[in-house]
Amino acid sequence: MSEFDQMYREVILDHYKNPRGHGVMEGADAEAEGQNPLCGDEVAIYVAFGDDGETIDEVKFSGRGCAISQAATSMLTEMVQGKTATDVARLDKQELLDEIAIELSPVRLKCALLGLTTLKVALHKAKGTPLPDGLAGFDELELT
Amino acid sequence: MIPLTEEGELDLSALAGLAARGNVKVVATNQVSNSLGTINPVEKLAAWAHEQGAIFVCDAAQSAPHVPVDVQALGADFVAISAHKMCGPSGVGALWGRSELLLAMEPFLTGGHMINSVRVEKTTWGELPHKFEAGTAPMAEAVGFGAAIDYLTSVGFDAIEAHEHELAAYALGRLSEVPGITLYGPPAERRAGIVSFNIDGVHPHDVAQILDMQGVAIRAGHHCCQPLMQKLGVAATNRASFYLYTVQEEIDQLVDGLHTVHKVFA
Repeated sequence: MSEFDQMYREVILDHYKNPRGHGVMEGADAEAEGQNPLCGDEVAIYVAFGDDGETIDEVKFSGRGCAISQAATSMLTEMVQGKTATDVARLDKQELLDEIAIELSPVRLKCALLGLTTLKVALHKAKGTPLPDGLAGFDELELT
Repeated sequence: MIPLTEEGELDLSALAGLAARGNVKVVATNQVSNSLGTINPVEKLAAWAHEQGAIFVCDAAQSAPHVPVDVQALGADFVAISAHKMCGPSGVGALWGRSELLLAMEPFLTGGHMINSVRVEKTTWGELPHKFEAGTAPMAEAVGFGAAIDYLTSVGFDAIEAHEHELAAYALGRLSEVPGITLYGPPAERRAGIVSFNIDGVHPHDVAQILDMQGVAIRAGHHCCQPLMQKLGVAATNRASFYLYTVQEEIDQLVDGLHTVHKVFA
């Protein structure tokens, strides 16, 4: 398998070309925008909670970016369904990285984590759940 | 801001409107765009700036490595260049300024080597350029910068410019064969050795990554020009740039690499 086939695995390209949960959600219970100015990736995340107001019923995302950021965010929308806001706030980034399962340079790591970090910001704004270290006080995410 | 035409050139027809506001103090532009390779009409802009009673500042960091720069002929008041873009070391550059302006200016940094005399009552500044060179200079870098300029001069800026134009024309021709490509900027005869482009449906970072894996290094991103990206309606672009050491076969490699990008994302 060539080097780029390893990086652009079929599952990554599938999520990139057919992203799950792609679109804008009107009247979302939680939302936030994130961008990675270095590469121009932008993502907006929307969350709808179930009747208990705590369990995630649906996550949608819109935006544009590289295959890694878009595929990772698409995978994330599937991973967090049925979890509570507190679960997601505690979700270790390694869990998402294991799902993506490709070797990422520090620059591409930011692409891969843009969706997860933006989701945590959205939940923080709506539910007051803790943010990852170093992001205290962020209402909109701008990674640099 | 002076707006752009569709081809990515400064729209000089907007100058009259800017002048009518009557508050133009400083006009600044690069001589060559770092993003599109557009060669800007610096002489015209300098003359226009002076008609407004303004100072004209030229960023020649992107042009000085590629074309002969005559600061007097440009009519600029300040011209800045950077060593690392012309085969020299990082961390050093040069700022040329008209002596009457430099003499009228106060130092922006204080430190060693920049004074004439210091008294409790009165301090006087050193002569030009020392007045603006406070502290210990990066000596090795400055010497390296000089050596780089000597080297480029021995090759000849006219030869470098001609070589790059040939490459830019060749690259524009070859790249237009790539399916789904959008090329930005003016035609080859009005640009320096830079080609910016996008591949339909593939983010520049993915293009750059796949090219990198094939030994082709390009820059992907917004090139510190977010307003330009907005104007182009894109998040980012790919940019291939050429210099005196670039050969045609490398452009062929770039084009082959882009076909592989297509295969991966097909």
